[in-house]
Amino acid sequence: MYTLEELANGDTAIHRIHPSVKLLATFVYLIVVISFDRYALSKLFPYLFYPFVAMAVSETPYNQLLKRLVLALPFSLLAGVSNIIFDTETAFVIGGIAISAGVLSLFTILLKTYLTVMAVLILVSTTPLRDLSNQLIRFKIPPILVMQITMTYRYLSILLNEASTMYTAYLLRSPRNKGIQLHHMGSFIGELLLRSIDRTERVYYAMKCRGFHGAMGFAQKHSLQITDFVYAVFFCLLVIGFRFFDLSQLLGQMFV
Amino acid sequence: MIEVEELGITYPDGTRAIHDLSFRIDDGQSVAIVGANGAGKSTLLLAFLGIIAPASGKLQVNGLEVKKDNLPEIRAQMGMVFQNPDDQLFMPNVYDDIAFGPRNYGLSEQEVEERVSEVLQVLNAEHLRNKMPHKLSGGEKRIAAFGSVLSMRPSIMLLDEPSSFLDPRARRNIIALLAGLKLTKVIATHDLDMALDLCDRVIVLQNGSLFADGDAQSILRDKATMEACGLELPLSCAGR
Repeated sequence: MYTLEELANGDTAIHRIHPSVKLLATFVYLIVVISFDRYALSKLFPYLFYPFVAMAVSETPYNQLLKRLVLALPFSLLAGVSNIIFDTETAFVIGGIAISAGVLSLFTILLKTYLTVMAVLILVSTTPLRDLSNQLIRFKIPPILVMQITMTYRYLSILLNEASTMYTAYLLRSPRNKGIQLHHMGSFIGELLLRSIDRTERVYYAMKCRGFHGAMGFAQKHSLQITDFVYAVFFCLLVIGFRFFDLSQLLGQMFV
Repeated sequence: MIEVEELGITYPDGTRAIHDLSFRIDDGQSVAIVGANGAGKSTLLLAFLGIIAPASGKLQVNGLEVKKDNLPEIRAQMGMVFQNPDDQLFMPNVYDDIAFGPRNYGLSEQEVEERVSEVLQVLNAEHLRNKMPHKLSGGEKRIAAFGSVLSMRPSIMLLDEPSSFLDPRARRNIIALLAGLKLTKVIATHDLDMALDLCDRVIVLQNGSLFADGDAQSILRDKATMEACGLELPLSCAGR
């Protein structure tokens, strides 16, 4: 997670785009990608341009994002596999091999997952969290939600460290076990929860001591430039344009 | 100035944390509150700020009674540095953490910027400005936590175990830093050598009540008093 935050402090053309423009562009991209039906695999291919171009321009290492993408894929895979079982109708035939609609929808779901998760990861790895939080508040997202995101992001690592310390302490006292035994899992998770609640309480005290009254403020450090407008218009036109003009089909017709 | 009169604090489970406690801390004093674990040191600090409500007695800070209506004003005048800096540093970077208090008190962004810069300069910590809290060392986190309180320009500073989690050099830096701060300091600590270095007065708590109150040099060097309340002589006095 923190590698992403370090990447977010880079200084490339993508990093310099105004956070509100990046947020808007990602939102438009996500909505358009999600709007395709489950058999629209080929229509999604043109959208691959964004992750690749954005990563190249922002000098984001592909493996850093891929590692995180892998965490999301199993969920999509599980959702997609059931389509293979229930949706057996033949969608098309390639070289004498019938491809079922279920298989087609599985690949569509996987591609959609890739595109959407990558879009969000690119946003997070090119925009510091404070700028994102600031823009979310400016977009009238309830401050309580923005605060939840900010605090979760900040304290996730501390919770993981706490869990890791407890796990190490557990293993040191049960050298014959390879992990936490099932009958200890309840108390382990319970203890972690209690520690989290304790910490939450202490953090809240610290906030109240500094005049906290329900909303966190961030400074607006960016102003919109002409290049931001150009990027926003160009990006949105391209993404929405691909939605209505099937580029894959056009290219296919040119070569067949 | 802090005035405590026959203060009693009871935890929700019925445990009496503080009982019948009275003392007064004048402006500019540096006071150490010492005592064994569970003596009520941290509870007392939280009560000063109205985080924990007293069951009985009276608490006043700079002439303001510690009650709901006065809390914003009291918390603007009295800052607290928590024992674990990770509890205190919750913003994405050090700048925003130091700016958190001033922003909550409605200062303009320009004033906030000025305060943050001033505090970072005083703490000699300009290089931490844009750092993420989790990337800081223990000593740096502690300095950032100080900064987050100093930016509110308090007249009283409460410190809960300020030398915990620190290596000797960082501890020494923190002591030097605290010695240079010209404000009222109330330090809850087990670090009796630090108390000797920084404080002119010591309040000793035992099981939530006052055991001793007086000159730091004489109390901290009194072996009988220290042992009676579950403490030991400071290392610098123990002759080891």
